[in-house]
Amino acid sequence: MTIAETLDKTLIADLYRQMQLIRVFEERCNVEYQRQNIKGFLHLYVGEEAVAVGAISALREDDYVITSYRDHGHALARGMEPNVVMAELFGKATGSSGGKGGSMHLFDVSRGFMGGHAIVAGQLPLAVGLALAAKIRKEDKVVMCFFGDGAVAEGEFHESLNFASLWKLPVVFLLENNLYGMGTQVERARAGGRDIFTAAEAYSIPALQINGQDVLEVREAAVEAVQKVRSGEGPAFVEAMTYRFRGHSVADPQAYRERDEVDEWRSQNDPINNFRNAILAQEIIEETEFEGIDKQVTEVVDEAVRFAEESPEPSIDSLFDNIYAE
Amino acid sequence: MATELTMPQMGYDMKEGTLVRWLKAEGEEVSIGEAVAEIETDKAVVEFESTEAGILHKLLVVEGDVVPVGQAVALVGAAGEEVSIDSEVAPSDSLPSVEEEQEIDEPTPAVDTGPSDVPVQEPPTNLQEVRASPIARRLAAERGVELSQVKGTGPGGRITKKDVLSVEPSQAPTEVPVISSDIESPAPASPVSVADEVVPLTRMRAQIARVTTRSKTEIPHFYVTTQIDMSDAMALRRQINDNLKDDGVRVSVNDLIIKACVNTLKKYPKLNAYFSEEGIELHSAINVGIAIAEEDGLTMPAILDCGSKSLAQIAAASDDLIQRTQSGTLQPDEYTGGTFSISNMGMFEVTSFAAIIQPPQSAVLAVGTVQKIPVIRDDQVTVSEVMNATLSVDHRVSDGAEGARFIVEVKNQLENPLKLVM
Amino acid sequence: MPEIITREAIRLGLQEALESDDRVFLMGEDIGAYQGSYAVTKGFLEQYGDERVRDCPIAESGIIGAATGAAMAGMRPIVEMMTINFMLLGIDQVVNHAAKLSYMSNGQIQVPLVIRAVTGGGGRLAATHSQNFEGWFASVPGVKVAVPSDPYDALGLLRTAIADPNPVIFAEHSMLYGRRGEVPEEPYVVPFGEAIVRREGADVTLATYGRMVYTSLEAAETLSTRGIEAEVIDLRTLNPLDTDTVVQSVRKTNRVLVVEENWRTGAFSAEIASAVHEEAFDDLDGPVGRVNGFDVPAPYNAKLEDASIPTAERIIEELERLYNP
Repeated sequence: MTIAETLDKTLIADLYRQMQLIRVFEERCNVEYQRQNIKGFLHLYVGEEAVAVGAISALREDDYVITSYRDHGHALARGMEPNVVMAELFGKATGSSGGKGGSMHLFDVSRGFMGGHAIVAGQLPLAVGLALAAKIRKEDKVVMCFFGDGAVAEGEFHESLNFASLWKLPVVFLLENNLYGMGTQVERARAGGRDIFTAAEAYSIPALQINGQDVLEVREAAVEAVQKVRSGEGPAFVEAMTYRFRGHSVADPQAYRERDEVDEWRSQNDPINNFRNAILAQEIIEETEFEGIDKQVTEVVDEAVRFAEESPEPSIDSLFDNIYAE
Repeated sequence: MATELTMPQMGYDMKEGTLVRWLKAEGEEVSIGEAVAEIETDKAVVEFESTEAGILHKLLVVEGDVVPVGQAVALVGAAGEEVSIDSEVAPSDSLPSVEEEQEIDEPTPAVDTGPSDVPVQEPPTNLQEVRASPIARRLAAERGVELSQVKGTGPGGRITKKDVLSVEPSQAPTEVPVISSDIESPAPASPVSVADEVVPLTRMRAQIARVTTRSKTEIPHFYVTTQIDMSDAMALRRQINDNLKDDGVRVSVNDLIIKACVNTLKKYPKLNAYFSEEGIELHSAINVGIAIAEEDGLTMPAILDCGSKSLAQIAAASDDLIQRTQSGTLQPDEYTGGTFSISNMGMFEVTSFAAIIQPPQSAVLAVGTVQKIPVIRDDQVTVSEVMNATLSVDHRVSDGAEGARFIVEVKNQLENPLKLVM
Repeated sequence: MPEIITREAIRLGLQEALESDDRVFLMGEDIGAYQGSYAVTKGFLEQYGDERVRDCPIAESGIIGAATGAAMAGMRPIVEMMTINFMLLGIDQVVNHAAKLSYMSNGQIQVPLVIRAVTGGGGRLAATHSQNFEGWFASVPGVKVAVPSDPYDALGLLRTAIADPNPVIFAEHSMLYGRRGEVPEEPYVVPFGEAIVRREGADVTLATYGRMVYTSLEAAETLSTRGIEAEVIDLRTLNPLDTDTVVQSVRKTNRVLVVEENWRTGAFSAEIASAVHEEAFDDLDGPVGRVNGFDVPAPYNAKLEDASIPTAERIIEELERLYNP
């Protein structure tokens, strides 16, 4: 079966565009960090784009997405304005949180994007709660909760899987297994090794492992999981095997892994290149069309940087705003 | 036009990095994201990926250099482009070192500012052994009770409220010396208040009461007054402000007066001084205090180091000082560092008044409003813009003749205002 | 006006909320089938069903996090923490999540969450089950903390807590559930940030909250027999904190002790003492005193435990030591 038989061309082009937008946006973030326009911690998603794009493409507009601090990709895939995200990274008043959240804490409640959460595994109980609210209200919303392999050793991972399964809550647990929790290889942190999806089975949650570098495979698994979860059968667990092409954060010398390993992933398993080549091979989209998308994405990112640069700093008066809701 | 590659920020806590090794040589091509060098932070050695694309024209630092984040390390440009280092960027060794920058940033300290700054009071020598609670001290002051005459019954012999209240008012001496910073003013002779309402003293009110009382009791003031024709100065000011409009600098009448005083103070250093038992202490810096009215009183923050400032710099510094006074972000030096002051009541349409000297200073100039009046010039009645100025001087430091020469020189400067911009 | 006990007042508040607002539901350990470990929710499971009275697995972080998530989605969850000691297992969700979401999202998210937590010592439950952490939580921006001491306040403050769009820690002292008091049948609320004078007096101010209100009142009665009239102030909430009422009282009495059950080092009493020093320094007739629990893990033995918690005698001794009134 060819790609075109399963998906229409517009969707294929859009999946590509989203992945490319995340890639170009984040490579630009790295430059802007070095230029000191972005401060603090900056965790890049480069290499993992297919997971967020494929999985979020399976959702409805009224579903929830919640994730960890490596959140730019999910935010953009969920449709957050690149201008507003970049302005937040620049700490500007026009950012999604008026410059108070920064890279690790992006939110867009209007799109059901319930945040980047920067304490490892902290978002899992929140996802359970969002799903609980949907269930109590008898809404057929789904919560897609992204987390990394580092979160799996936290108690909150186990508590949340138990809650969700026990109460049959509509959560898709989407594990991004990029093989390293910061600098610790997953095998060195987890009894039972790197195939984490088996842990979900202990909580009677159906689970599968997929190639997270293949956006169509991710999408297919997510569509199935979302459908099942939405039908009220309880949570699902998807383990997407993926790889972070860059360091944990900007200042990571990556002493814990070999350069060859990174190069191999980049050359063999780049989700964007692979997808583009497959589509070209099947002659679904032409080279010139890809070039047009690339150009448009670069313009969007250039515009986001311009917008962020020209936006005002938050006023000092805003310091005390929203500590408490009124 | 070549662009700079700057020492990258590689972590939120990174302030500088060592350029360990260049991975590219001059003349080589680099693309964005390509590693050009290895940078050592205090945590690790990491690759520095180029933020620019083009030919690496010039390496500005050598391997081993420690470079602050944001400082240029190389120039990247188009092929064949001529690069002049001087016109593009200063080489690293000519940039100010951290120490030099600190020296520049630091305001010149006033030397020999005298034994005490304004807000600091002498220790209460006669009361150091008396232990009394805060309310007991307050009541004693209000009732005119001498605390050293009161027996304390609190823990450790502390004088308590009860102890003060048990003292008969008649036992109290009629005059109470100013004994500590907690007691702002001489107590009334009678403990019975005749006022219908007592407004508690704010900190600022109490401070002004202390400083002015001390000044007027310690410093023998004398005053000299003159009338200054401001017509030319006002015309010059309009001209300057038209010219500087685009720079956002606006010169006020007060800035002209400050500059005139600064020029004059350089000739009369005794009015930029302070009297102490040891002698007349001359200040090396000229820090001009300006009186700024606030809701419940005034502050006299100083523009530091006016001696080296041009009129435009004084105008900018004065504007900045007023704004920071309003936002409450003055530095301690600015509160206490004044060596000469100017009090300007021009905005109130006051024609003349005399001001109280602010220790540790020896003179203050009080100026009124600039008003148009008929004057006789060359036996002709003509309209001029004039201003009255009154100089208050500490007689222990200087005498009438010098005071007169000083104020006439200020007058001379303002009536020939080109001296202010030269 | 009917007299009821504090447990009953809290029950009334919860029932009222469950009946008037579909968004309200309860979560906690053993609040349903077991009927609540302090019997506050006795009969609720039968009355409201297991969708709204949710027995939870023993997973404090999961409970508080899930309740926070539900609140983010617009529900009004009320969590029962069996004891405040167990909140240490869920403190991340309170401090790093519930408290921060409004600010970090710049107001996009609200967390209308009430966490009822049983606090305090005196029950011979030894070191792990006898602590008071409400003061810790009160120092976190984004969280509010209520500390009711009687049935009237328990109901009035609970109403305010449930209506508040922010996370509220509602600290119920285990030894006060049986305390009796008048509660009007007509609706009323007790607003946050308003302390109340429990006993008037001109000679010394005792600022306190929770169970220590009664210890302070006991000290005040003894002092009264010696001609010293103590004013006892019940803070009612720690965040927001009403320092004005304390300062006003100190302006009158010139002497003050802050009385708190918690350990002395780093205790919330120091926050109140500092505020009094700053605002009423010139009215003081001596140093602001603090009477706190001693810095010891709560012992099991009754005699030892009683010695670790402030008593009326200790309050009087401290007053004499600092003021010699």
